[in-house]
Amino acid sequence: MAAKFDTPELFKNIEIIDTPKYEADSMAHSSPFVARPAHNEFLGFPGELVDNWEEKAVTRLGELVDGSRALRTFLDSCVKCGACTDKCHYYLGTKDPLNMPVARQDLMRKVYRRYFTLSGNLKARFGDRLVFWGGGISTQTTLSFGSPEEVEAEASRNLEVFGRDGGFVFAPDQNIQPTVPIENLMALLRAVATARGRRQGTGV
Amino acid sequence: MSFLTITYALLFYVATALLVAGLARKITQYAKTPAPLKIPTTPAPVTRTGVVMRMFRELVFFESLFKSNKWIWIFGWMFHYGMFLVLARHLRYFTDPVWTWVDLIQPFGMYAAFAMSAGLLGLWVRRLVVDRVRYITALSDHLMLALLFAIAGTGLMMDYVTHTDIVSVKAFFLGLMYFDWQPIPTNPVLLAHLGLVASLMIIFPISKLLHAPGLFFMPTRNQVDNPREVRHTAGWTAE
Repeated sequence: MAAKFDTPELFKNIEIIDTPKYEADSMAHSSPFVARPAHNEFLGFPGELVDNWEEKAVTRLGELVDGSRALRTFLDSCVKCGACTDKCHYYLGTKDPLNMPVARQDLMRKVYRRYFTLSGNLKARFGDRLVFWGGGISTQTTLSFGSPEEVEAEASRNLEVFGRDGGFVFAPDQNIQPTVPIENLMALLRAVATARGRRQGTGV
Repeated sequence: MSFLTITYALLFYVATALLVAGLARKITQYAKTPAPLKIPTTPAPVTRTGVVMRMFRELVFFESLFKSNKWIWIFGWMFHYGMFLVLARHLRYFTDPVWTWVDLIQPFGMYAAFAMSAGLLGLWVRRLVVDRVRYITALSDHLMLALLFAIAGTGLMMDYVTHTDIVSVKAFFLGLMYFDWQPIPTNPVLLAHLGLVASLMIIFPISKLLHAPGLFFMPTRNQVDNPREVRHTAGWTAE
């Protein structure tokens, strides 16, 4: 049996404060106190933020979800009822709505839903088994009306996402319209050539 | 066999298959995921019996929500137990002969439908007027409430506005269960009601409605508070 103990009397000499109205971005001026690189390296961590930190963070979140029933059930189950919104003393003190437990969880849940649920990212789930096709550039917006730089940027980003861990058949999402500027098409081809060069290690 | 009957028959087969397969997948996933740490929310029961009691109170009375927020508790409890009675009442469309207890609760099921709708409206009003709850509310939360409210509303309409041929409805569902399809009545309110129910069944296993099976697997509720008496290892703590 557990040790006998007396539960301390709650609210004995405590004034209960009213829950404040939230103020978005009330903590925007604050940021983390980043440790010095030397201190991190001494502890076996990389000194600075690594280049592919997003990918690493997502992979790690996957490991955490697979290894913790609590995390998995909570990420799936929260109904956003709001019962926790007035409970966090950080929220009561800062009025920053992101300190409400549910909002804080949501920051993580958004990543979880995107990468680890059926309704989320197909590439993350099936990318090592399926070849994806199409969706390389938006023909209705960027390719037709964007600048060459915007075209190259969007195509490069999609190539990186879809091209990871396996094949990707590059194609625009619709037929290329006759009004598309030739510069935009050149930018599109440039993005593909660059991505192909990177994959083959030639660094075009 | 009309096109409508075939559509609805297939819709309900697909919805049922997705609901059962999706829930089975999720429940297996929850059961297989290890709970490496002892993390019951204190004060927690120190015996297995105590945990069973705690889960019972949680399930039947929503104990932790009651301690946390009275308004959400009132509306949430009204909605869930209203819906429970309403669902139990609907068993008469799936059993022949109708079980005695289902027969006995028929009149209460009608009051329950109003309790369920009132609970839903209460929860919805909170989403709109409480600033903090509005902040955390996503579009999908509104849609979920709208879906449930529309199901309750169309159900009530069939009792108070336009009656439908419930004998044929029962024949349709018994026909589905015994693979002997019968024509579905063409009352538009009934068709809307059934279509909404089928979509609820389909999204159940991929939405926040997973809190229903999830509740049983939450380590903070279902663990015995005995970390010193019994060494707990699972997952990475067992390596």
